[in-house]
Amino acid sequence: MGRTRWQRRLAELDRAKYLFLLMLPGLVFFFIFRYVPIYGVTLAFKDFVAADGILGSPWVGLKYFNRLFTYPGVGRVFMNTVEISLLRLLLGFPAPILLALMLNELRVGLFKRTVQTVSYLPHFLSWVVVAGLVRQVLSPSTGLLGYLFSLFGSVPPVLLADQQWFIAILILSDVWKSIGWGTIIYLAAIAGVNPELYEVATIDGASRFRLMWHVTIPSIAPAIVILFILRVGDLLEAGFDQIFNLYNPAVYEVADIIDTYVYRIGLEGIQYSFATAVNLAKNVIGCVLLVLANRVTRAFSDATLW
Amino acid sequence: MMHRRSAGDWVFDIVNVTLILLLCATIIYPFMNQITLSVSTRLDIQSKGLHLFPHLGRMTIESYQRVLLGGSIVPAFFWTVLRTVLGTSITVTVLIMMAYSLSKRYLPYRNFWTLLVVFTMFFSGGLVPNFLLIRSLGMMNTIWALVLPTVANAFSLIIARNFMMSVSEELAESARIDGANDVTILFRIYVPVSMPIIATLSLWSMVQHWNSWFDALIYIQRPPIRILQEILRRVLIDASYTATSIDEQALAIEFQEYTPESLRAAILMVVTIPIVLTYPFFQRYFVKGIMIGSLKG
Repeated sequence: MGRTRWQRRLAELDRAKYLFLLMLPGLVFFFIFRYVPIYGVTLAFKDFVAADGILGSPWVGLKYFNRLFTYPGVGRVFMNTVEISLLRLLLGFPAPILLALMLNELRVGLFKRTVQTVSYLPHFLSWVVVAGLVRQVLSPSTGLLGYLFSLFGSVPPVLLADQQWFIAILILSDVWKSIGWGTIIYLAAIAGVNPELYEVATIDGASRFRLMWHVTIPSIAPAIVILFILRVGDLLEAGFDQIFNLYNPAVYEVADIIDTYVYRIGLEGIQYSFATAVNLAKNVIGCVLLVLANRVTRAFSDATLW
Repeated sequence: MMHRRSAGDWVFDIVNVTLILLLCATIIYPFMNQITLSVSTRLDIQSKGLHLFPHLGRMTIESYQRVLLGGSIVPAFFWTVLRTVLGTSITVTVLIMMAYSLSKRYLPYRNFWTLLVVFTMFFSGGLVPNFLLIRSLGMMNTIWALVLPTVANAFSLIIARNFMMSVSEELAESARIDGANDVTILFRIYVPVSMPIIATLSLWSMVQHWNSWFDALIYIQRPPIRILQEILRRVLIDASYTATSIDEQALAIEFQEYTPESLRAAILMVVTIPIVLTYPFFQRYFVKGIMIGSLKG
């Protein structure tokens, strides 16, 4: 009996040998560039000795995790991260929903398509480019801001060096970059609504706002829930590319987030172990948040991630 | 279904269209502004104004001449094209082959391999382990540091796998009866019908490579390799950076004497124009990718 099972197994493997061959390069890439760095997370529990590599460096237990609680800067960067992230969620999440509803009310197809294409543009640009645009527009000497203030004969402030304005600029430029692209899923959900629902409601005398409120919004609710879960899971991603390209020492106090901090202490300050510990803490909290968000939404609706 | 528009409808439409046009203006203005700055003289730039259109009588292409003849941007353009082409072709080839295998039910332990990939979407090593890996592989200051790590893209892989799972098995089965193996079936039958998803993955990868700068910042510390976005970042945004290495000094000297706004704008245009000119044509592939990706797999 054991022999036939063994033979069957062998036949299965033989049948799949070309599948393994095709999969092999991909597996090698995932192993080297994804799983080796995941093993590298053990660095958070070791003192890094360059000559011995991560594998040979001595274990030091929770030494670097204790620093998470004792170093004065760490709490601040976690708070900054959550604060910036929550503001983004509050303003950046509803923005594409609102734009999708507005685009849906446009009557001329060509105009709608043109607006959509224009609104996608910022999505395809890097934050390096967008930060360049932001700096030029806000330039007190040659930018739009400088021009507007000169109309009133006054001298404009340097907004990027002002702590409160800096956060406002972060949120606004993020909405600007992502609002158009974010409408795609909502517009697709709106396009899938049964037109009979609109007809019936119109015959019943519903106004456009009532149609929007009672037909359109309920029909895109599942998409809203799913995208919201994904956003909550990303609560500790406050936007490294954006902040790194816009911030300066004058606003570190409010704009320094976990990722920028890890870069500065890790690669510039060469505190490899501590930087890895900070990163690991962030990663673990992120996973927990995603699971929690999924639990909470499951309690309220049918739409969940898993 | 036609119905008479009420006064409220008119007000709604006017407000709606006005707000949408305002949004478009905020997107178009910065680009018009940059084009104008890039062809304006120092005097025109320093006078206050919207700088929305160039002064027709006083346009100059001096900034573009300096950028293109300066010795940094042209090589950087070629290095950036090289990383984009290499990165995209390797990524798409490797991922399509792996996606085919993962899409087959008779792959032993299929769920295990899929889980192995999906796990990397939720948990990653982070900055320092990645940096140390590239360093210990001896890939610092090589084009491979920019090309190889991006190949293992779980999201693209899963999307390609989902697409291939929806391909009908019939053609493959008849080819198998004729003696074809999986390698032949993939390249003769699956690749031709998977062209939409291959185009999507290729364009994703190309835009990602064209726009990435952080890997060049940490992995490339000396010439000859230069990446456009990274030069843009240093010269435009990091205006206050201190010239530490000889390379940076050369860069600083090359760009310091000119009208900074005009020069910045010219470099920004060189980096941005390839994207701005092509994205209206490839956007539909991105939209399609989002739709496939948002279905539960």
